[in-house]
Amino acid sequence: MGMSLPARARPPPVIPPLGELVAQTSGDLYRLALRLTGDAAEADDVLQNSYLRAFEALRGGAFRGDCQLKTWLYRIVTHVAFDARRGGQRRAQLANAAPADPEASPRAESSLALRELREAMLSLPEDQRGALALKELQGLSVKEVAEVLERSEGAVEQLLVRARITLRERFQT
Amino acid sequence: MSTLDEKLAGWRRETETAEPSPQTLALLAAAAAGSSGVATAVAAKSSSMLLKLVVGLLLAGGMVTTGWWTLRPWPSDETDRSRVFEGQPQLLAEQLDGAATPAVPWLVAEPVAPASPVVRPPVAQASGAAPVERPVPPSPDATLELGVPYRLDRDGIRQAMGSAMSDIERCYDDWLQLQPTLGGKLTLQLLVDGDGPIGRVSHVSVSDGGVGNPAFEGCVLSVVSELRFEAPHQGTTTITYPFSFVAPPLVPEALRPVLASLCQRLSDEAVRAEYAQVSLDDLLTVVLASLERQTPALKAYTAELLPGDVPPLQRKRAFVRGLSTALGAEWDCPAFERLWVGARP
Repeated sequence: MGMSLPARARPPPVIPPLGELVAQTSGDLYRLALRLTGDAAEADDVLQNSYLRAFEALRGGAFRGDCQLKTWLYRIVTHVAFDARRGGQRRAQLANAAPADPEASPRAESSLALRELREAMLSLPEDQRGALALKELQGLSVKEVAEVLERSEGAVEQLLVRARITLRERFQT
Repeated sequence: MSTLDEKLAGWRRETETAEPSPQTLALLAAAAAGSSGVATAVAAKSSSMLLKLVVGLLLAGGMVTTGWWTLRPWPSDETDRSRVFEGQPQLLAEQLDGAATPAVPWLVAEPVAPASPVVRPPVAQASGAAPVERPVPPSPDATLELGVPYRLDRDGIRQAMGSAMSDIERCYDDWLQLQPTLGGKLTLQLLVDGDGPIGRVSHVSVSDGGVGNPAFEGCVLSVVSELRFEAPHQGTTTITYPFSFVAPPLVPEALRPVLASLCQRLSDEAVRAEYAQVSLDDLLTVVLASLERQTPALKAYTAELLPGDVPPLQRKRAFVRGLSTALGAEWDCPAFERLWVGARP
């Protein structure tokens, strides 16, 4: 009787201690949350909830190493940020966070333009906004964006094109 | 900025040095280290925001609220209670029911619920911590399920809050470690809906400005949202309930030895012959007043530790918390515990 060979097993993912993981990744993840939500307080909320989900999953062995750990964390932050926006939790605060009198600021023109961009991005469909934030603001490659959003690279390219068209149209009106 | 790419580059530059708030980092460090209480509190945070939104929308949308119970656990019109002993501390808080409740003005004991079945507090369940037994008063109505509801009257609501108080104080203790200045008034609004014979908390929100820490507020909201009442007679009832949290004050170095010996001094003072005729309900007040007379700095400290707006249900923990913080270890004083429940040490 021959022995059956075990299937080739993927090596277990290397996961740093959670405290170390936070120290290494919280800055990048926070900036992604901020760029997806446009609001610092909401980004803090998103970051906290994202790590909680991540900790639970890591402690439960749910991360199987199918992708880079950072890519997986980006994915969680993106989902949590979309969930938060769907909840509409901080729309009012976002409106209030805008400078009351942009003209009074020495960086008025710049602030106004950025505010317009932020508002325009928040009006984009989630997948377009996610693709644009990950690619243009976080600096990920199309391949990495595709992994985060669990789309093909072609689909990400399409999302980016559509997002750009939408934003340009918005700024022309 | 004229082109889209320039705008995107501008936003990237503006946000490239952004970092999470110190509170978030402290919170994450604690959660990463496995602090269950903190993790539970964080988990409660987002739900609290949602609940706030839902209640706000409901109220703004004119949902019918058929009954209002606005509870004040301490009345604004303080009754003048003349003191037996000269120099006793001012009455810091009045009690709900005046003469019907024990007359311990300095520290008012929590109401003692009768022996009954227990339920596990929600925080202990959520965090995986050891379950804490919570007494539930017997049902006022034989048709109601045993061990479930509190009455929807002043006493019932006070008992319900009393049953949740240890969990609420645990929320505060956890968050205080991360934010030592955390404190202030926190007024909650609970919407109780009938569900058969049981009234469940369908929505809960912070009705004042809160204490400026949504995560801590969320922890408290999650605790009270688990309370069960008898079904409201008119379908829905809103309960407004105020809490007050006082961050332990800084302690002058000279006072530390006094606080370190406070337990022994309480014990010694309480058995003095001249207090033999003092009502047990008043003994703690009398003894503490005597010690304060002997050490004026102690009086100033206790006044700061327990300002007048701390509700009776919270006063004991606030006092013990303050001493524990000052001494760097949980203040475990059997004499104080005996005096608190109206017994001699």
